[in-house]
Amino acid sequence: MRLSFRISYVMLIISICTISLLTVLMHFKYHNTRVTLINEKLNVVSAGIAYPINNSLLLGIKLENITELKSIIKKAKEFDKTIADIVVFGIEKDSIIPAFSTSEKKLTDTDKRQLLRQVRISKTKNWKGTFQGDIKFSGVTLKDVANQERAGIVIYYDLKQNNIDEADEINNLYKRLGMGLLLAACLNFMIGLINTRELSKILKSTELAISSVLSNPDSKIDLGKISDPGIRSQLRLMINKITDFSKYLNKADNITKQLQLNSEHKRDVK
Amino acid sequence: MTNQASTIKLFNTAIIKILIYFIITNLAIGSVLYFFHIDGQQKGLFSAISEKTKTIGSSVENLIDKGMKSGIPLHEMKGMNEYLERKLQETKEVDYIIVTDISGNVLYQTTHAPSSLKSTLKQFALNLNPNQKEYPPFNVFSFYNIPIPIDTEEQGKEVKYGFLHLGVSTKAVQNSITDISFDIGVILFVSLIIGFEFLRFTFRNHVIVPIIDLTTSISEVIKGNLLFVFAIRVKNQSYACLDLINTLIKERAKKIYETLSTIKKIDKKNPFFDILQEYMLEVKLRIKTQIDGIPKISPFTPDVESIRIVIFLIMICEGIGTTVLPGYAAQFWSANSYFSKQFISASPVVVFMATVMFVVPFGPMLSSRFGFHKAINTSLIFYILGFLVTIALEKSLFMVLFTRFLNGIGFGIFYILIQNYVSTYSAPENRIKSYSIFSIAYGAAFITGIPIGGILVDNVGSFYTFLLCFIISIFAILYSNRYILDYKGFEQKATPSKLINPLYIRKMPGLAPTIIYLGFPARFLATALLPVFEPLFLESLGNSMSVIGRVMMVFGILMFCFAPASYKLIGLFKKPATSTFMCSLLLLASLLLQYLFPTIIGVSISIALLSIGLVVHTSAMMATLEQIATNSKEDDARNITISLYFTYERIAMVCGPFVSSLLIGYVGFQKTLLVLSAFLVLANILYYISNSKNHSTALQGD
Repeated sequence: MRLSFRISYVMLIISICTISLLTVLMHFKYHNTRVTLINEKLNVVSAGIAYPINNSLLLGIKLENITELKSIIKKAKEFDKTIADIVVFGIEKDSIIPAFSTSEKKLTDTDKRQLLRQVRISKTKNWKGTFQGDIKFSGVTLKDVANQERAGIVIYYDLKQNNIDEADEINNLYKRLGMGLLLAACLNFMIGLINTRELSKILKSTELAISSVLSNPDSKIDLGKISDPGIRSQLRLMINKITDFSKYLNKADNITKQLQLNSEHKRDVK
Repeated sequence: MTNQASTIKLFNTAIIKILIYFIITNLAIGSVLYFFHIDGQQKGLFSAISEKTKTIGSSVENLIDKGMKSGIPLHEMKGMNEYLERKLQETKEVDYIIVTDISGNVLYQTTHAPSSLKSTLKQFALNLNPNQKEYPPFNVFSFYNIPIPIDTEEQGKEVKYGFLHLGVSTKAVQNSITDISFDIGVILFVSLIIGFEFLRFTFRNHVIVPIIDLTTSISEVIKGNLLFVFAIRVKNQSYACLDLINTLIKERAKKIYETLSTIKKIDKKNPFFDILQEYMLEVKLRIKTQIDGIPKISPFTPDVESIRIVIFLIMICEGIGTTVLPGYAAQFWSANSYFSKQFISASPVVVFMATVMFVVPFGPMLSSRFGFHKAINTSLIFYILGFLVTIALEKSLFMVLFTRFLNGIGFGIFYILIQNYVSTYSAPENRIKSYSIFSIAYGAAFITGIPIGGILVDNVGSFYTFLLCFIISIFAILYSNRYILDYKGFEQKATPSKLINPLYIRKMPGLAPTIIYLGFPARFLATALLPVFEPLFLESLGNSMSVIGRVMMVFGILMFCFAPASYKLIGLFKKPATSTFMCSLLLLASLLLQYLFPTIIGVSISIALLSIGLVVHTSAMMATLEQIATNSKEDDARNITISLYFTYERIAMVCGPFVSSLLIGYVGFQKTLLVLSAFLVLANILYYISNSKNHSTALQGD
């Protein structure tokens, strides 16, 4: 393949990869910004639910005795359709004890361990994470007067319900990517072709010149087509050298022939 | 300039031109995509913030609704202003909350609600349509005002009593957009650097190296050297020319051999024999061929620069690790743990550095026994194994540390072998240029790896981030296997790394204070701050991983910019030791700045100073050691000083993260900065005292 095409293809591929990488990272950033906003929104919901729990913790009332909690979390779930489930739990002796939930689904031991880890590692009272696949969670830890973690609220939400990835901006992003890729591919291919055309020509002429030397060392070779003075001068020197080789060889051949003739003549005379 | 050099320059210029065009074109396309995306984000962001604001509004509205259902009229609710104030503090985007009655009269409001809004809200109430169901947000002064109706159900009908107005400052949206813009700008920059590195690598291997081979081959023919034909590295147009030259060499060498063989057969008694012999001697002087007339295949000439891509890929993985690992390790900390959370976060760095320190001496042993190719590939296999363990096995702190142990074995051996590789195959005059490959590749990878790590871990989690590191390191080993070769017969006389007793430092005058008071503290600070203190400190200031990555990137960018100029900067002072001392002061300024201004801007400027200080310090330190070696009477003094410096540097690199993580855990961030500053001040004072003592001793001696 000619040098210019090879370079152009490489430029085309790398520019496509660069623009694609840029778009994918932009998608990630968009996704992340949206998820952060959802989490912040859910923190507000959690704060609303946390209000009566905080009061009861201060008064020493047990979590399961806060009767209005069930209706509060139910209302919160009804208000925001993206919420999959809300669970209010107590923390006792390093274990999670679910108190109220908007669904019948029970937390498994793994879920409890994950929640406990979130409570432990979080620097602030709010935390977030991924539950399963598209389900994510946002939670809050509630402490008693002695600053001990005593309860928590976790809100599970479905990313698909939030239409994050189907949002117009994502569709537009990929439409623009298509255009960007087309533009990048064409422009870079052109840049590659235009800027290496001269180099390719030099190599082609060099190839032709060397082929001519190979096929007929005595013929006159036109180096005028090679625009690079460096290669032209080097090739001229090389061709001169090859011609020198031929001259030496021809001269040696002639002397050898003469010697051989001389020997034969002597033999004939004898 | 020789013909060969001018040809290479011609091709190099064309390639540089293409690379510049590549950057300009893709930057332009990327910028267009960037601005469209930012515009789209702005629209989407406002609706998302509105959604969030409505949630806040709904919780306020719920309470009001409850009060009204209990029979309290809207205008007689006590403590409402305080409640609204509390609600306002819960969210950073909302600037004011106002409750009005149905005629638009303000009943309750938060303290910072602009008084000039009153007339606008009245106007809003006047323009209301009784059948209106939707109340879209409207712009008022520098706020987006979001109205939420306060209504209760009375006899199956909804009755409106007033409105809740929530104001979001336009600045809040703008601030979020600025934050997103920074991140996307970084992404654009990172994508371009990665694209540039790969393009540069491809051009070098497919254009420049073949042209060097071609022109060298032509030069050899010009010199009459028909001893070798050049090996073909890849099939392309340049190598097609080289292939033809190879055919030419083989053909001519064969003819010359045949002629010589014919001459040998001629009777020596022939009177013309002497003339012919003399003639052939002249030919032999001008044309060199192998005894059998068949040219040998010349081995590849060393191409040291191809290792740049391997270093770049491995350093990207390290950059990603720098951002991800502290947070990843922190999740295994529990309140019952004996160690502080910061110590657990720093533990992977400590294990990594310690492993590197212990394995480095084994690198040269491996390469001398198995060659660079096998030794480097083996080291990379260990490095890859580390990531494989992380992604394949169950998550635990032990596994993270084991991963870093394997990474450390691989990286330590790789790092020292790459240095030896460059010094072995670079001509002494090109060695400094070849070493700059490290700085450039290291800087470029640090710039790209850190933000990528931050963005990925925020978005796809640690598993996929480590999976990406695994894939990148697989590419590194593939490139290493293809391009890092043993070039037999091309070895240059180099100074090999030696294992020297660290106590030997006392035997050379001036060496101990230079290394212990100037070299050690700088390296100690570099590893105490960069991989441990800064990410944890920035996180404690409430920054996301993306922001942390962006701030840490400052270090890489400045390192990249200042590395080539560092030698010029040290020339500003008469003695290299003075520049080293000045750099230490710069590092001290960086620490104090962070102590006085513990904000993201303070940390960014501090990291910038740290970067400049460290880059110039490294060059100044090398120059100081060179001067000490020149003044010393020891044999092989240069090698001894450098080896001793590297030994102490490695010890500092282990101590740095270990001490800083312990300090953060026990005394907190601010006091850690003070302790580190005090350590640096003490080291500088001790250096000053010992230096003046040495100076006076020297004077007395004179």
